[in-house]
Amino acid sequence: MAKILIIDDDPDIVLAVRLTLEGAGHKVSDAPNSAEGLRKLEEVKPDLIILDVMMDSTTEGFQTALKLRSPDPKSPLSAYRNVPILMLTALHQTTDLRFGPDEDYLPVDVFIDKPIEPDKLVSAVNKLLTG
Amino acid sequence: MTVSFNSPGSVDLVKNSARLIRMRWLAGLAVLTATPLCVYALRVPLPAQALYALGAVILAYNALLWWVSRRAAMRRLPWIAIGQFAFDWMALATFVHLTGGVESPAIWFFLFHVLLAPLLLPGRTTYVFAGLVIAAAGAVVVLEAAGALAHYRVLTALPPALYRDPIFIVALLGFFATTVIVSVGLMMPLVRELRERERQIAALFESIQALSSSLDLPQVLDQLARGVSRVLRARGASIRLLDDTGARLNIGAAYGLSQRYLEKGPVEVDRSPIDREALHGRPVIIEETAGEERLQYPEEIVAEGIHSILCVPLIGRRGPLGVLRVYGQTPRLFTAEQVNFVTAIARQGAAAIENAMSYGELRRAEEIKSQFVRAVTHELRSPVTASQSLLRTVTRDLAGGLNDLQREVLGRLSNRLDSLQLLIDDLLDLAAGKVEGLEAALAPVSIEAAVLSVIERVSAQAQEKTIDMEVNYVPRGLTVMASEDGLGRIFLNLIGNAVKYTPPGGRVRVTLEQCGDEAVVTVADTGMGVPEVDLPHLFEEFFRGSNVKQAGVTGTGLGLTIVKDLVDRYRGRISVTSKAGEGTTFTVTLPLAA
Repeated sequence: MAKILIIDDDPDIVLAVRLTLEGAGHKVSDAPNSAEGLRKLEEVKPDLIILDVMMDSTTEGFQTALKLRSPDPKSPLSAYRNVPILMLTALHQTTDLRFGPDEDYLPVDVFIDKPIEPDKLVSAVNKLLTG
Repeated sequence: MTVSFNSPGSVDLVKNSARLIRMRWLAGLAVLTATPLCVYALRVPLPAQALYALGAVILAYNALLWWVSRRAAMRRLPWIAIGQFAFDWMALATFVHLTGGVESPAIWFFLFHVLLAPLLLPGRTTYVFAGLVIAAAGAVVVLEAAGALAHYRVLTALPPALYRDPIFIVALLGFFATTVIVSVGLMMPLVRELRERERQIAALFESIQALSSSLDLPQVLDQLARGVSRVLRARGASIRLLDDTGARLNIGAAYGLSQRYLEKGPVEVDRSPIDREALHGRPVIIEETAGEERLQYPEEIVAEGIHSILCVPLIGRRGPLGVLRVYGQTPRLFTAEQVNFVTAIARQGAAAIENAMSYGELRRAEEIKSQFVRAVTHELRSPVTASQSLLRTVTRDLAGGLNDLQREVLGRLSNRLDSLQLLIDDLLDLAAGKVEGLEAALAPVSIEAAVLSVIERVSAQAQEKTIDMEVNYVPRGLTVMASEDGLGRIFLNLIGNAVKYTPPGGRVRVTLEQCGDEAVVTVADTGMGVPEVDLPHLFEEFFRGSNVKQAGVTGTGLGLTIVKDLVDRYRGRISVTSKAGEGTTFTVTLPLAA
């Protein structure tokens, strides 16, 4: 059993992820936006973070991932810089995400297209947790 | 596109040099044939030997000039022209001397060159040449009178001492010099005007070329103001465009005017009679700005040092766009001819301005459309994908058990949502493609890689249906100008369709070939085929074959529209042949990247 934090502003997606991952025996916590999500890190101490790519703005999910990956060394976030990140995207959206420190750098381990296929999500999560 | 326009004068220099050389052959031959005629038939006591020699010399240096001018580059032509004049000047002076000096009727031959000189010699050299002509004639006449040069008494009917008669000499040289100077004086302004006209035509040509090659409004306006100002050698020029209310003229571009003048305030059509008149379609000329009452800002104009103004309308297809003003530093700068000229440029300019404006509007509209498409992408897709995600948890029993009927109903719901999602994705692809179409930069993309990656993606599905996938190609590193996503989309749709519409046990064959400077990809299947009546409609939006609908295969009817759209954008062609029940073959032809 792993602790998973999902940050997504769509409560239906949160519910689908929760049902899927709880069915696979994980413990799921959620936050509706990235500020709330970053606050919840301390409380949840997640083993894996799931981010929606597009919340309030097109790039909010991506900015959050960047913040998690390269935090200020003194900030409490730095404890989570190695937690795997899974990003939920709409179709074809990954091609728009080529920005960041350099073109090939993506602060995300796996992308999963919506709609979420429960089997795919579970196997991607398990792979990230064991890998 | 650039078309070269030779600098003024250079073309007629070539033509006239060649003509002079042709005429000089005749002149040389005339000396050689007329001399014996005069000496033996008319009994004129000419120095025949010397004249034969002169004729030979003329032919000799003409041969030299002919040889040099055939090999000389354009920029050396002015020197060749000067060389010709120098040789001719000496030859003619000698001829005059040999044919009687002051009494020789040949002295007037000098006029030929005096008249041609302004056309062929650069600028002030003409006056120098005229001076040399007078000096040469004067030297021959004076030296003969003084006895320093032999005098050939050719016209025996004339008094023998005439060549020493001071009054005769002075009168003849005086008239000769006056004729030469007046001839040059009359020719020069004509030639100057000719040159100016040539310069204007070249400038008009250049500005029309520049205007029609740009769709950027500020650039078009700037070129127009700059071009007109330069052609007319004016102080400056400005373009003012009507605002949306039609009451004000806002500055669009200016050339040669001070910042202070430009910031003098808005021009209101009601308060500026010259602009109002011009907007009605008539060019307006202000000969002298001081005391002129039709100006909205008379003091500022005088302070700027502007004395004359030419204001011409810029009239587009839908009415007046604004005015083009040209400013002169001196009063009465503009001639009627220049007004016509500026009006002609303004007409071209108005068309270019209108094109640039339309293009700007089009781009803004496309931008709004693409923003809209992005917003719709999110808004339409989110509820559908969320619903699908939730439904999948239920049908996978993650939210408790279901009875068979519930499972079937939810399964149907899930299928409907899947096809809705497909439709949304296709629609948005089509819309995004149309938006992207104007802007997208195409790059060389490997067509082989695109085809192979699609084959890889659909191979699992093909295996599942036990469809035999066959790929024929020879690796040649073929690239086409396209976008990677778009090229992938073309083949995913075509090869995906082939797999989808081919029954189990069938065959899909993909062939990639090079044909001249084109890549040809053929996707052939042994599927259900397209009924002949449906073929012409296959690429229409939302069209689906009648047999496909009966067979209950899902689809949006947008896939092939997207393919056609992309192939068109890459300047390719697509064709289809099919027989219902036997199979379909699509052929995509794309030009290879250069």
